[in-house]
Amino acid sequence: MFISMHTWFPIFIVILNSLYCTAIEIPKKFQNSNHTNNWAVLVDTSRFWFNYRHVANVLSIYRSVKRLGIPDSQIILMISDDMACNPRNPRPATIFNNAHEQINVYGDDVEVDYRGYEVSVENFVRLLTGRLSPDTPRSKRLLTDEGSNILIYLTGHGGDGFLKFQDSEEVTSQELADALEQMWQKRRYNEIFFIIDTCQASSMYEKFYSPNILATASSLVGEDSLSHHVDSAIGVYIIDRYTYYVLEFLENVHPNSQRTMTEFLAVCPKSACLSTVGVRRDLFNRDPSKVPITDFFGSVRPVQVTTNPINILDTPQRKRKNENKTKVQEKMGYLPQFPVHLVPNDK
Amino acid sequence: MGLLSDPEYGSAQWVRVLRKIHGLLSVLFYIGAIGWFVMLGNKTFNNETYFSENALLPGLVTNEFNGEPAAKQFFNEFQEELKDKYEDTDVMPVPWLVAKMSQLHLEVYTHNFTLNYPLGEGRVYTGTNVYGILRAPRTSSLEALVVSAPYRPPSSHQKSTAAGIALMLAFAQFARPQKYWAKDIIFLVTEHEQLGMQAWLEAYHGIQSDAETFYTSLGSFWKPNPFLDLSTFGTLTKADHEKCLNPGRLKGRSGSIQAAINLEFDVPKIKYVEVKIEGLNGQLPNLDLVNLVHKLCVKSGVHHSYKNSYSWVRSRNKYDEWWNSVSTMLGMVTTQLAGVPNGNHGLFHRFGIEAVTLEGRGPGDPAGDPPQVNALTSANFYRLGAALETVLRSLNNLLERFHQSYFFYLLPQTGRFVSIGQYMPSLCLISAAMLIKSLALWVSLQKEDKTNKNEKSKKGDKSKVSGDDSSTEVEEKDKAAASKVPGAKKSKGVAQRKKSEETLSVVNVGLNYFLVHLLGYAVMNSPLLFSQIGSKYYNLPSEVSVYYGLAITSAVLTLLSPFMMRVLRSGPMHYEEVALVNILVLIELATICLSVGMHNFSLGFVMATLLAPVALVSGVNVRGGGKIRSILVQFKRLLCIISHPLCLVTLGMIIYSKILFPEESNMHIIGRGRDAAMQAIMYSVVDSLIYGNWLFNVATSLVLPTWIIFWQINCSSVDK
Repeated sequence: MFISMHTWFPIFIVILNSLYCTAIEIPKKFQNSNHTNNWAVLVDTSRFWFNYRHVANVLSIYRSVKRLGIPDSQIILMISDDMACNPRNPRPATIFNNAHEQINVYGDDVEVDYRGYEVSVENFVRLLTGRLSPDTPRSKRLLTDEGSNILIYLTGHGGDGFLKFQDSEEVTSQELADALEQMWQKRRYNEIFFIIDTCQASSMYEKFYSPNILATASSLVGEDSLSHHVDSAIGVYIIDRYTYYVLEFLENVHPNSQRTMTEFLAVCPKSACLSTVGVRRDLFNRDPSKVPITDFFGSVRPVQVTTNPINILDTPQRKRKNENKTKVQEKMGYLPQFPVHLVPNDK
Repeated sequence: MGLLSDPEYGSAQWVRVLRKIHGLLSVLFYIGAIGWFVMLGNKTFNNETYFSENALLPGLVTNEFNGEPAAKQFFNEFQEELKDKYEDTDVMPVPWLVAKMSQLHLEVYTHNFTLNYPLGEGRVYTGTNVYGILRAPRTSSLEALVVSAPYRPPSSHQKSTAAGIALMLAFAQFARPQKYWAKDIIFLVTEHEQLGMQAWLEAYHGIQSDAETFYTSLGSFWKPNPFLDLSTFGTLTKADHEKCLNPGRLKGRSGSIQAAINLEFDVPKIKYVEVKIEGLNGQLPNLDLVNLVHKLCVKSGVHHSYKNSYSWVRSRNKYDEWWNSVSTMLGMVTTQLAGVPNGNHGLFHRFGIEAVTLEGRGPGDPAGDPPQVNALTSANFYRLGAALETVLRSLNNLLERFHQSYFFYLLPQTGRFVSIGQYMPSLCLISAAMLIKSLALWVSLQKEDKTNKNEKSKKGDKSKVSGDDSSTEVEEKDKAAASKVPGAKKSKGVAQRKKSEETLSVVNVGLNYFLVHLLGYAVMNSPLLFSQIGSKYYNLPSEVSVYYGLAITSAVLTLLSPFMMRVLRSGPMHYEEVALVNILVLIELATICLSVGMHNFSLGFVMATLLAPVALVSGVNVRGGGKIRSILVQFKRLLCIISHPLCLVTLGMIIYSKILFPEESNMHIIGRGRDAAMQAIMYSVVDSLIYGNWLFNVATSLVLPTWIIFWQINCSSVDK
């Protein structure tokens, strides 16, 4: 009896605590995300040369996300058309996101997981919900769990309540909302940050009903999302406005940055975007102003904090015993990961 | 509402109204149609052009064309070459062109074609086209663009195209090393103006069997029936009719052609570029292409124009603007009317290829001087090349054929257009005027035998006031009359009506109709015969023999056709019979105008405008009546004669020569007009045979029969 009382008490406290907190404020301790890994699904849904900018959009986000620490194995990149090898491209095998053409976003280490006509509504929904055929390669799977924070970025041509894929089919906002609900029920995510850059983009998140989703869109219903500028050397609109300002912001974010989601959500004011950026917060339990941007754009690494100093000078000397005849193979180990993200990237 | 043949239907309210006001209504519709067309020039009634095709990305790319020195050099070399070796001949400098294109590392081919001139005595013309293909470096040769220029020998009376050819070569030199071409570019120099282009296009698309005549251009829907083909009747015409143009074979091909730009520049220092769009049978390129060319001319700093609309002229007031728009539209209508392409671009359209011609113009151009032309800065090879470059790079971006924008439109200004939905009502109104008249005739025909009944019913109305009993009595009587039970009083009238019914011979009407159309068909096929007879027995040039042959045929038809209506009958004509013919011909003419107008609005509209007055005025002449009436009949006949197609052409040409040469004496003018008409008819015949132009066929096989029937109607007089 005593023992059971002992075990029940803290649980009661926790429940009381949580009830109390939802009413007023979640204590700081609980505000920290308890996610264990980060994934990103980046989709460009439109093909054809005149939609060059959408490919540039998605590759730019890919680049930022990767720079902030999500590894390629946890990024699903879907690109509908091969702009780099389009015969119209005067800069073959490159894609730029700026008329200055400083950064080739289609550089050496871009892993496109779904390309060309593989980018379809069916594949996209199957990817999200995990209903893929068993022989699907690992690189084409979203292997998330209940501890995963997922960044979903969509760009292409949309309308009120749909997003066009490949000029031939479209995903509706309801289908997308249902897919996300299925993900939630299958415990495939912890939190989702949903970004969409299309015309009438906000219509795509209006139907969402699953918890823990923070959504933002480049334009409200009835508005067009516009392109930012033309690269007259390539002869195309090179990037969309919303993504351009997102990138401008992300370029100054580092893996250990303290910037919050609120800053991200305010990244493109109407004066710059010419369209109103839409945000949906009601499904998201945390306060975006206290959520670090790296919760979605960075990657959680298994770090153990210890308060006990380890004296590395006082390493115990191993005595060499030559008389031991049995040859023990020397143990191999991994070197610590090189902190790539801390190296200034002056490309 | 009942059926049109409902016996009770004559009493409907609207029928009575229609009978009363149909004349006024027709006139109003006709005036309304003209008014509608004229109002389309106003800014409120037309629209600004816009790009429908996303893929074009017009003018986004910076110009890199740097071929001005090269172009100048090509120009000078070409001029020297012509002066040295080709001063006296009409032959194209094929070796020079082949050499130059080969030096630019294009795939160069020549193409030979032969024309068996249909109206000459077995004359044969040959020609050579030269073309070089720039293969797209990073894609397969599935699609192509064409840049072409016609070659004109120094002896030609038309402007030279030397600068155009030089510009084309310089552009080829610039474009060859570029790596962004997604389509092949074919650089083509054609000989003998449109003939060379037609031959090349036919060879490119593998049309080996037959030069596209009127029938074959109808596609697979209608094959000429060997039974009906009059050319098989005489061995005289057979050989020529089969094949005029032998396009030969191409040694090298590229992919499907998406668009073509034809260049006609005589010198580099032109003042402005005229964008010519009208093609064969009035077919137009997609509005997106026209729009593209105009927009990119603006961007490249080249002045551009379309007919009377000049990019640099700002109209002073609304009236001027409106008038310019209307005159531009009328210019377009007259060009489309003839159906003759006003540049080599026009032959592409039939193959589903959008094409325009850019013609360089300066002061002293045969087309006339636009206002302020001397104040304009001249263009040079650099600007023209830059314009060509941006146009081609934009076309290079295309993903599919032009299909987004309008194919049927009128241009009141370079930057404004009238769509098919806006201009068709004017044509529909004219047709409606004719249809209203035929409807009115029909209901009056129904009513004809009920005039007596009408009187009665009036009486009945009166008696209705007096009492119920009498009215029922009248009704009974009415019924009796309607069911053809001879009453005591009406027996005579009914008997008469019966007689007329017996003599109303549908067979006779139909036979006459059929014969007249057969005659039209015969006239359509007659020019070959005329030219052969003329050259064989009278040693006349073919245009003279064709013209006079047609004139004689027309005269004979005019004299004899009034008697044709009585081919199968012994007694005199009846009112109802002639009225039925009148109804049929009105419906036919309205249908012809509408259906021709669907394909070539200008032709349909002008046909309707010219023939509708005759159609509306003509009617069944009832014998008797006073002097005024007979004068009126004579006037109708005169109007009908004037509206004979041949008369119209000749008169039109005389008026045109009067405008061109106002100082000459009238006899001279008439001579000139006649010669011009000869030429015009000759051209239309030849165009119909070689290119498949419809004008001559429409005029002879459709307009002429309807005219003959109107003439018959006007010439016949019947007893009431």
